[in-house]
Amino acid sequence: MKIRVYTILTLVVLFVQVFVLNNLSISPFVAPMVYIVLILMLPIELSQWMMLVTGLIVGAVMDLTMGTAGLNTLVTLPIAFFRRPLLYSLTGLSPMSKEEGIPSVKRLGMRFHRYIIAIIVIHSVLFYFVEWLSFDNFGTLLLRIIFSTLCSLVLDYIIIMLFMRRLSA
Amino acid sequence: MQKLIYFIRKSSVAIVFIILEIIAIRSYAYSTPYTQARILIWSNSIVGSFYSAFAGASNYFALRKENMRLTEYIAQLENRIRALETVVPEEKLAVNDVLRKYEYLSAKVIASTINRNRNFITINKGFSDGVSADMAVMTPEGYAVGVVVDCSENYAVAKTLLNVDFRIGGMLAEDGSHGSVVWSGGDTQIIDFVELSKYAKVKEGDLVCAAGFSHYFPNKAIIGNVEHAELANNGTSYNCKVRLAADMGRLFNVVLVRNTGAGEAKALEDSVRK
Repeated sequence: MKIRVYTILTLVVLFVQVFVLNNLSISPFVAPMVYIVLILMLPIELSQWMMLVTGLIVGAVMDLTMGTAGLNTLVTLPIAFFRRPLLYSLTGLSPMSKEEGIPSVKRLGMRFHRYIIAIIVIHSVLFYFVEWLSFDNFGTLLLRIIFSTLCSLVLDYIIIMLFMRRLSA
Repeated sequence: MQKLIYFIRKSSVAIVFIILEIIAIRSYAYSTPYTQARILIWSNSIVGSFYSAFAGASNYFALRKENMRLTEYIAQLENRIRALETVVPEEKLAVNDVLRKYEYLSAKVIASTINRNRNFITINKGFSDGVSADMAVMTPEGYAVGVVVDCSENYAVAKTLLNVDFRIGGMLAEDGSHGSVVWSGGDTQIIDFVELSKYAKVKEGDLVCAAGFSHYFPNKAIIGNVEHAELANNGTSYNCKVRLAADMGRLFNVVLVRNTGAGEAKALEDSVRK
């Protein structure tokens, strides 16, 4: 049952990212990334191996559709690998606790938002910084990071709200 | 020994993570516009038909405006032909294959980006339609857009002027001074025209076009107008900001141009360099 919801979530995110956001020609400052939500919503108890494999697949698929040879993989892998420690430290969840299921407000309280926002911001900043890889036009880079991160946050939250109840049921 | 095996077993995830990360960093660091185009071509063979469907839908809404623009442009061309006919007798205007240096091909843009620092467009024609790498991509009005990097049977991927890895020769239409046209990221309507001789008579509004020696674009393909020029590098050359003539965010129809003489010229240049 859960697998089905995850599949739908994956398809929706892929559709939005590949067909809508990757071809967005509104402004050079708006290049939102929503696919990181796939990593964020993975069950808390998932093993490090599974996290790493998911991160690799998500990153590689994004690289293939965007033509960026490795950029998405190299920023998604650390997020997937460090999600567990980040989740514990940002939400105050004890590593000893037997909490299972997807991260949600019900399970983690208001600190859930801290977890979501922090990881999306880390991912965005890392992505645009590596893509730019220089301090020329630092102002432009900064504007790009700010606007794109805000857009990503809004879109990610919409997706999270849509799927939260079904996934945590 | 047992301790070593225990250590490897315990930290194997971390080791694999580090190895994967290094592979990803290496592959990104060594990627060129060509690798990127190759990847896009490959993924287009899977999602290309979806892209076409979406592009079709978004094109539909822009159809009226696009039609108006094209009709206006046809009218302009008609006028020019009539004007030429009055000067040159018709039999001399007949197309001569030796003189015909450029081949034109129309195509549709099915996917494009402007919000990266290496921007590409995907076109709905590939080598089965006669597209090949190094063909110039222009708007129907004759404004420079980019150059085809790679193509598959039915699709081609071109890097646009909005690609920090792309540099072409440009020149001031008025006095013919040469420089380099390169994008530094950020503003999608402004491109840099650099290394222009300090003796060039450049002023605001001057037309910048592709230099003939760039081989890609037909001579004098329009790039844009100078918006701002200032002396740089201790006053040895001008750096200009040029407003692009082509609207990169709104490309629907494009014209592909092959310079039939470019291969020969390039081969000759390469042989001289050896």
